[in-house]
Amino acid sequence: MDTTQLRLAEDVFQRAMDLPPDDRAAFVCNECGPDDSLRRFIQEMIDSADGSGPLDTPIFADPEVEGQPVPHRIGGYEIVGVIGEGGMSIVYEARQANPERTVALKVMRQGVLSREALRRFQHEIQVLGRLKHPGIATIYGASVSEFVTPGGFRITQPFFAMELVRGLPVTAFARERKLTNRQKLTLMAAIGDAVQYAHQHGVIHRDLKPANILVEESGPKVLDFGVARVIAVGKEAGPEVSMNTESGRIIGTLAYMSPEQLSGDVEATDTRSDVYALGVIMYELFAGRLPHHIDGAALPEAARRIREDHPTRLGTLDRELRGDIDTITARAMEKTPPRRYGSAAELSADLRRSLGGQPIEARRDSAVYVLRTTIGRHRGWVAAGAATVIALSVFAAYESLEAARFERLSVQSLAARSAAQEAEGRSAENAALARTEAANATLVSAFLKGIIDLKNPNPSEGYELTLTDVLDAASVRLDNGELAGNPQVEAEIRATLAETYNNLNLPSASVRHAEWLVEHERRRAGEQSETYWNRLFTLGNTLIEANQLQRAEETLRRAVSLARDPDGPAKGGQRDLDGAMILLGNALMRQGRAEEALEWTRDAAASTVRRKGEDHFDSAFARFELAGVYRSVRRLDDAEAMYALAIPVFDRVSPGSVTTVRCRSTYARDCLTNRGKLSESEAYLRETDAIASASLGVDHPETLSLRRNLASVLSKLGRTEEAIAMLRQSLGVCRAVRNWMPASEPAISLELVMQLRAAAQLDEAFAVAGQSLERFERIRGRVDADTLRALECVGLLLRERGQPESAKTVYIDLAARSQALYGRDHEKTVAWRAEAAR
Amino acid sequence: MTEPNTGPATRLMREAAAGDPRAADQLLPLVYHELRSLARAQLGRAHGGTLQATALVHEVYLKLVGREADDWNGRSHFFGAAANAMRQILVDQARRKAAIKHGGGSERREFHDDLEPEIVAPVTDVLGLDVAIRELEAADPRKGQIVMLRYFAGLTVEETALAMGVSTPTINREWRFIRSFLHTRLKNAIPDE
Repeated sequence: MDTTQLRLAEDVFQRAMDLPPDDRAAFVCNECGPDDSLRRFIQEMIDSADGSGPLDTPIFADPEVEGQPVPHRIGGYEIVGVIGEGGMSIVYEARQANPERTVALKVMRQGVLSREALRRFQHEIQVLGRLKHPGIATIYGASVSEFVTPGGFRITQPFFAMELVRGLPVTAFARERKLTNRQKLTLMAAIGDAVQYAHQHGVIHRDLKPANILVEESGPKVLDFGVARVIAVGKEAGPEVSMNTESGRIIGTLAYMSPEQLSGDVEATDTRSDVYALGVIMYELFAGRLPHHIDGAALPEAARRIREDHPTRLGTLDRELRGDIDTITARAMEKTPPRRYGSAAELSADLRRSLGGQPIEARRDSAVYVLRTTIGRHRGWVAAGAATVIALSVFAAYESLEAARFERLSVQSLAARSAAQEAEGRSAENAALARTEAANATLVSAFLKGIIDLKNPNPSEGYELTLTDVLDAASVRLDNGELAGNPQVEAEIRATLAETYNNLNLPSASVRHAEWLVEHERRRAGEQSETYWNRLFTLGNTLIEANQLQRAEETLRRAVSLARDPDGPAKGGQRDLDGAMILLGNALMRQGRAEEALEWTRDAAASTVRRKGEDHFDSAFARFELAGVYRSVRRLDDAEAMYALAIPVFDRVSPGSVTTVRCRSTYARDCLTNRGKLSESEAYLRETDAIASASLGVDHPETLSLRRNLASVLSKLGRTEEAIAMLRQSLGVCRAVRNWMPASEPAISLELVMQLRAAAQLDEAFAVAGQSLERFERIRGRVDADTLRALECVGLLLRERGQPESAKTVYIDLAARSQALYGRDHEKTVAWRAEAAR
Repeated sequence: MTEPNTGPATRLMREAAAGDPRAADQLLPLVYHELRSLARAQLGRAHGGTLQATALVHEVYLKLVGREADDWNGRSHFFGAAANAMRQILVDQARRKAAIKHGGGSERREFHDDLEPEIVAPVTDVLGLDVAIRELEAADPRKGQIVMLRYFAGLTVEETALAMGVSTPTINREWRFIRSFLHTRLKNAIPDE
């Protein structure tokens, strides 16, 4: 196999391995086309990926590291014996000398840990150490033990000591002691108190199960509070890795995991996931079995059952359990968090009301309840406590994102260093230049690291520290002139910030950096320089994305005239000219000046094709843009013709890329969906979805937006339930990664609102609309086209739910914001003003 | 024995770490020689005729470098060299065995002058593996390097990532391919037996 063949084989293999096992064969078949021997080889590789083979045992393996023998001492603790062993950790019984006591020692199997991961681990343990409650096993302290492998590698093992509890798991205890129903209720209420206490301190358990709730004579004790998070924090990789590689471990705890946890919705997992687990434990306690039959089911199937199937009610299993016990358990185990008890305290309170013969809260009208939890006022303090946890998880997420950039950065500084060495041999001037480069690289990385160390700005108010906050903080520091003495470095950082904001779909935040860069280049290199022109081009692009269309138009007109100027940046200028003309067309089109736009775009496309040939990405891109302009002037046949030319070229030269996926998705919408060819559109979008999921990943904004498109086709086909399921799933994906792309979530929410409304599920539609509005306001601001759309939905739903007075208030607000955005006489402003007066 | 940390291997490791390619080249024969002579000496001490490759590399490391060397970069060069040396030794050993077999005199082994110790490797088809690794190396030298570190030097994924200066997920992903590639090639190779 030569280099090209190997690359191809690896590419297909890796992409296939990223798919679910059942989809791999078909994918490989499709990718390899007529090359049968390649197909067979890749299939064999895939088959051999699961089994074991000689390469799993390295020539120079150290058997002692693999099956660690029981050590005599770890840190200051004398080991007595092994209590338990899991995939992530080993628990020893150990004796501490001072103070003298027996403890449980949990040692992480971690391998090599970064200093940062260790710091987080210790911080987290500190937080957990503050939990002092009779119902929670206390954490005494944490440390790190080091040992050196025979290979000379220093392995760091974090461990922590906690209260040794010698009770029985709650379910076994209940069985053994033959507890009465009243005793079980009392026990659950006590467990709920302990969980509530931890929640108030900002710690979520995430892995509540009978094995973690031991009952001693003195009462129940919950173990391993927050440990799931500690492990995640300590791990170098993101949460999705732990989901995949630890699937064996997960099976044991799967039954107690909430649907949102099972959707991989790690970030949306909050205190109410623990409430869910308590519900399952309660069910098990009374029914003597788990609510869902997942024994022997494969992981995805088991997860599906928990997410979708409704368990047999306790009252159906046993008449004696009808009434409060049945109702309380069902409420705790509701599939969607807003329908559950809002906190463990509410659960405990209901259990006590039932014991005291008072009417229970769970009986209250559920619509009222949903509305109350949606508004979320009472969650204030939970959110405040959870802030610590959230901030930590954001840190972890942010850091894995950063890792890639730091890697690049260190390569850069390495390159700069070697450049410095090399130049030494040449002229002194060159060496000085190279040294400056090296110094700059160091400065940049110091600055970025400083930002990461940024403290949570206001923990007491439950402020979420997101990636956006970190970027904003960096922007402020630059605007304060922190790097003013070194404009070159500042330019580099601002370029990164601008790009990152764009990637996060936050163009308006990107604008000021793009502007700064234009001005910087103008002063540094002059208006005729190529670098200035490129910055101008980027600014134009960013302004379009930020919807500042008039300014975009001005900027791009300037770019076009500079590129046409014979004295201007000539080198490669032609290509840029076409690009600028396309963007200018775009800016005009968005201002509703379609005829002008058509002229520019058509010229640009013709010129690109003439120079680059039919089979070039740029030509396909120009035609894709032209298709968009044709669509906006309702020349659908012309648009379709352009798509027909562009898509095969995209598929050939840039298969599975963002632009290719976007083009296919828009084509389906413009030429199939909107022309009533719904099943064709569905098939085409599903094909594109397969491509996008494999090449971009299911959590890519483009994939998510494609699915939003697909969902609307499904709903047009009358398959509203499918559409809703798809949007819910996208939303789950989106929340799991929301620090990367805050803008996707509210847009998908809003589509979900439409579908729920179509399905007459007004309560949930209203709840989701509220969330969507909140997110849009945060990301885009109060006066923004999308924010206004979300607000309109809220008003619409209020009216449909029979709350005309509240709806009226919303429309008044809407009209005012619309006036600020579109102007007093815009049709929308007028329409909303009329609604408000109704 | 030379003083730890000041021996030629330590010096070469440092120079290799500082970017001198010749130092890395010189490290290989040094480690190779040590591995061989140590293997012979161990055999003389009647270890039953077989040696664990693991123990061998470890001992050579201690002998040449000592316990104190702490510099990651340097150590990764040592393991690179050790991996190459070990591969060479295993391939030589397999060739020899094949030659003896084809000569029809497998029992004559004891009477050979240059009695070689047998180093136990967890793979039976060493030559087949060598061919497959050569193919991989030729098409993508970087992958060959990963095999050397992961398989012959027995580094963990984290250690390999550190040695190559890339991220752990990158190595994980590449190893997934390399592993399947070599296993498939081994499965389809015509065994020597």
